[in-house]
Order: sequence, then structure tokens, then C-alpha cells
Amino acid sequence: MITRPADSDERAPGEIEALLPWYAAGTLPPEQARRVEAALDRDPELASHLARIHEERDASIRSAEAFGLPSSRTAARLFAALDAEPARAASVREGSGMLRRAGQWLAALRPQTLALAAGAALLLVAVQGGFITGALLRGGETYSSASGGDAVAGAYVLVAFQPEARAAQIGTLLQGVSGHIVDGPYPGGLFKVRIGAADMPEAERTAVLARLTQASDVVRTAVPAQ
Amino acid sequence: MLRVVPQIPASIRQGGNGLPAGGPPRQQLDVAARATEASRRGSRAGEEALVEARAGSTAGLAVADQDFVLIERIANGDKLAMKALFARHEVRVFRFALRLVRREDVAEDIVADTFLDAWRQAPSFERRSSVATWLMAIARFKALTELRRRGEATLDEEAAEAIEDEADTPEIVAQKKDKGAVLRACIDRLSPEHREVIDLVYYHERSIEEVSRIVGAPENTVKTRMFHARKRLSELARLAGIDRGWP
Repeated sequence: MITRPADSDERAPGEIEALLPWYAAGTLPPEQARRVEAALDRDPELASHLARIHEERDASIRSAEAFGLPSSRTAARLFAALDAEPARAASVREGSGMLRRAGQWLAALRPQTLALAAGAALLLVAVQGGFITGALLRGGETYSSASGGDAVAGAYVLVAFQPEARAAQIGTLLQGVSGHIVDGPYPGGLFKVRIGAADMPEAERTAVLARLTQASDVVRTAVPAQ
Repeated sequence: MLRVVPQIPASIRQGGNGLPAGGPPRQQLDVAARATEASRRGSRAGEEALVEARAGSTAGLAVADQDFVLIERIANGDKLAMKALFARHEVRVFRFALRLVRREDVAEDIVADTFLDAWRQAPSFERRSSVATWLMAIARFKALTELRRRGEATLDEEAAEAIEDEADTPEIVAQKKDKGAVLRACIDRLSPEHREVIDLVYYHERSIEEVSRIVGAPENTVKTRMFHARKRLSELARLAGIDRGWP
């Protein structure tokens, strides 16, 4: 039960009171959540306290969302540093079973299933349906692991799209650079985009990359693929 | 904020709300809108919604499993997997670092350094925590190092209030009778320790155990710290003219 606290700043929270923020966030283990729910049923003051916690949570979330997104400088700096890192001795780079299963699931989906109008995540699925399934079915290509070699030589970039980007925007942008998504999404949302032949001049590759990067309303990250 | 409400196939709706057991789901959000909003938050709930949406069934890949797969590949020297991990967690780590250091350029540097550390330490990652928790612990260390360098690591609220910033003071915001805005302004005025735990619990939706791992304190200390952070938040709100009826 919530009682008006003593004046001391050292008052420790009650057991259930202490759990309420995690209950509100949905991150309590089921047994603890049940105990909280039972306490809430018994104590209306506790329920009022939970309402205050929801206010705080909403304020915290809105505050964090107002931070916006990091600039492309972060990715550029990290990727440059990664390029400078010494090669790590690797075991056999076989595709992980989980990634392969993800690819097989993706290839098996019908275009209609993929073509879902939606919010951020589902729009991305719609993009997949429009640009990947066709490529997979046409060429008989199967999903390749993230570290697997390219079946077709060419010039490639890795692109992560903005969550707000619509399928039409992505399509228009890719069409403008003669780009085609050939793989992905990798866990994390990166797509491999073919932008030209293997002998594509470096200056042209750089220009395409710049064009993609400048379309910041559609593209969150665009980097050369290794 | 863009919010699109599609016709969601039953196969996806039946995948559940994607949230961990115990707490009420965020109200008045359907699956797609929650995925939109929460995925932009970079939160766990958003990631689960993404997985749920893409899978179209309860057989979708678990978020933690995807991360573990990536770490395994990174440990084997797969830089593409490293970039995928970065894309997946960049926003989360950025917003966490920014909450602590309150400078975007510094937070961006912390993000890049955090993921570079992750690249180097991946071979020794032991799955004792989620990858997200691990990344946030690394970022926290770097953020506190930065704060110490600036002499702000133990900044208390009184000193924080003396720092000029461009945002409205809580008092000014209160005059606009916007309780939510007052609370947001007050969160910014908490000590680094208090605003960190508020951020981890409410926005990043870390469990008690995960917060304990990230901040390096016992779970009981975490619970008490959260209690006092909330108490201080209410006190700041009262000073700004908002009586929340507690403490």
C-alpha cells in the first residue's frame, strides 16, 4: 500500500512499489507481474501510483524520440575504422543456419503476402516483395549468407532505408541510380544493392553513393559493400 | 509522426503483441503503428514488432537470436555482419549516449567507438547478457568517461539547474500548462545517474537484471535508484508548479 512518505529522503520503496516501473514497461518476469497485478487489484492507491508512472514513461519516451537520429557521420567514422582494423583470422565462413532459414522463408513468401501497406517495418517488407522476390524467382538465386561471395560480379552498395520511407520513394530513388536490391534484409535492415557492372569506374560508384546518401529522407545509411 | 493503419492479415495479428509478459501493452496502437513508432524508437518492443511483422507468424526469428548470430559472425571477422549489427542498434545506443552526455557530436563519437569496441571484443562475448545490454554497457562506460573528463560525472540536480540551455525551464513550460512537457524538461534536469535509470527502464525497456548489468549495480540498488529518481522527478515537477500527488 502506498502511504504518504515520511520526511526522510532515505525511505526505501515497498516491494511492489519498486516493481511498478518495470511492470508499466512490460519487462517484469511473469511471476512478478502476477504479484503486481494481484496487489493492484487490492490497492486502489497503488493503481493511482501506476497511472503516474505511465505519465513518466510517456514523457521519457517522447523525450528520447525528440533526440532524433544520428547523422551519417557516425557510420562513416565507424566503417572507416573497421576498414583500418587488421583482418581477423576466421573459421570457415559458412552461412549460419539461422540466416539461411531466414532467407528460405523470405524466398518462399508470395508477393501478395509481402505487399503489405504498413508502418515502418511492414513498408520494408513491401519493398522486399517488389524488389527482391522477383530477382530471387527470376534468376533462381537463393539467399546467400551475409559473408558469402556474390554469385554475380558487379558494383554493390549496402543501404539501410529510413523507417519513414515509403515503397514508392525507395523505388524511385533506386530507379534513378539504376539500382536493384539483390540481397537482404540482413538482420539489422541492410540491403545489398547492385548499382552497376564490376568494371564500373570508381568515380561513378562514388557519385551513386553520394546520390543515395543525399536522399536522407529515404536513405539512412549507404556504404560501399565489401 | 507518420502513422499508417493497414489491413493486417490475420496471420500477423495472431502472432501476438510481441511484448514481454507482465505489462499492459501501449494502448491505442495497432500492430503496424506500434511497429512504426517503436521501431523508430529502436526499442525492444519495436524490434520484436519488426520481427513479428516480417515473419508473419509466431515462427519468426527471435530478436536476441538474430543478434547472437551476428556476434558469432563478427567474431569470425565478418565486417558485413558488423555493419548489420550497427544498423540494428545504432539509434538505441545513440539516444542512450545522448541522454547522458547531452551533446550530439559527442554521442555520435561514442556510438562509433562503442561499435568499434564491439568488433574487437566480439570473440570474447559470452552471451551472459543480450547483445543490446552489452552494447549499452560499453556506451555507458564511454559516456561516463566523457562526463568525468568534463567534470560532470557527479553533477547533482542543483548544479544541473544552473547550466544554461536552450530549452524552456520547467517553470516556463509549466506556465504553458503542459504537464507532459514539464516532466520532459524535468527529466533533463535529473542527475546523470537518475536520468540514466529512468531512460533505461522506460524508454529502452531494460529489465531489472539488464539495468543491473548495464550500470554495474546490484538489482536491489537498481530498484532503489529508480525509486529515488522518480521521487526527484516529482519534486522537480512540483517546483515547476505541477503537483503530482506524490511523494
